Amino acid sequence: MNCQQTQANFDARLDHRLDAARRAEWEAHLNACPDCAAAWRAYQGAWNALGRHVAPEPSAGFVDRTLRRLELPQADPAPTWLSPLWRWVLGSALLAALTAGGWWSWHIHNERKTEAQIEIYVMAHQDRLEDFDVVAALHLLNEDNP
Amino acid sequence: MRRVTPVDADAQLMLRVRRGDRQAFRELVERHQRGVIQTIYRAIGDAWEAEDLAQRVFVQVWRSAARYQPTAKFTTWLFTIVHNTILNERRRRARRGAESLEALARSGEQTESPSVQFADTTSADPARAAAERELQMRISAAIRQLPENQRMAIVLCRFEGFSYEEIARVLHCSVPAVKSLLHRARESLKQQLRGCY
Repeated sequence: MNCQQTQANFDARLDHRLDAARRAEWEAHLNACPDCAAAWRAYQGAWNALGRHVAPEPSAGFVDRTLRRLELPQADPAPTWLSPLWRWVLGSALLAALTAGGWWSWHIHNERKTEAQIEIYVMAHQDRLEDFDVVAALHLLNEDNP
Repeated sequence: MRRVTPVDADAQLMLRVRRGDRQAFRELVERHQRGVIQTIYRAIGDAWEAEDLAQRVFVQVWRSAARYQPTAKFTTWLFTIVHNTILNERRRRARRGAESLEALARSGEQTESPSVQFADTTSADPARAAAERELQMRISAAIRQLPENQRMAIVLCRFEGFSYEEIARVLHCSVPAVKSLLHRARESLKQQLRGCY
């Protein structure tokens, strides 16, 4: 067993999952390799430290309180509209409404823009249009008085 | 006559619970209260809330007893409920941005003591007691900084003696995934607990 294999078996060793033959091989390498032995000490040390963690013991009367809790009415389920399906439906409807609203305001904006552009064009070419009217009037006069 | 193993005893109690037997339910709670409370405590870090959530777990066991199949090991089924309860609690906290009840208790808003008794870790030597408290705080912090699934895997393996296969059933993942979770958790703990061993 080399260093990589030895260290890959740290978990199996901690969880007592090495059979006798592999364990003997693993220990033989560890005894001969100071680097692996140091790595093992750190790995095992953290595991042992974790095992010293203290958690609270159940308080007196925990079982009785739990049994009394069975008598309490079950909490009202969340309103139907809060269920995932309804949230999805409402979300989709909102998205559709926003999309439609967005498209409508874009459309109105474009229409107004077109009207404004025509107005600007007319104002910019007012003189030429007036000239055109004069020329047309003269032309009509000429036609009336050959 | 066949000897009743503890595992069989749990299954038999659950069969009685399915029929609405409260005495059987009481026995089940007595048998598993410690493991459930301590597992939740290690995930949440709040003794008062751990008891409250543990009660919810057992109430859920009572209400879901009809769905229990004796083919499944009771503790695997029980700790699946524990895991789901912890996940729900985390989601609830994330949604509401609620501070832990521990913080409320410290600020004096929580008047009623959780009356949870820790195992006796007091020592006649104050320096030793302080060192022990420091160690406990470091281990608690190291456990809590683990990602959810790594923490559950490590707690079930180290403190509840679950096999890889049982952890896989609780976490709904494969055995190789459990090995990977445990390895990453141990590597992380090794870094966090440097100097504690």
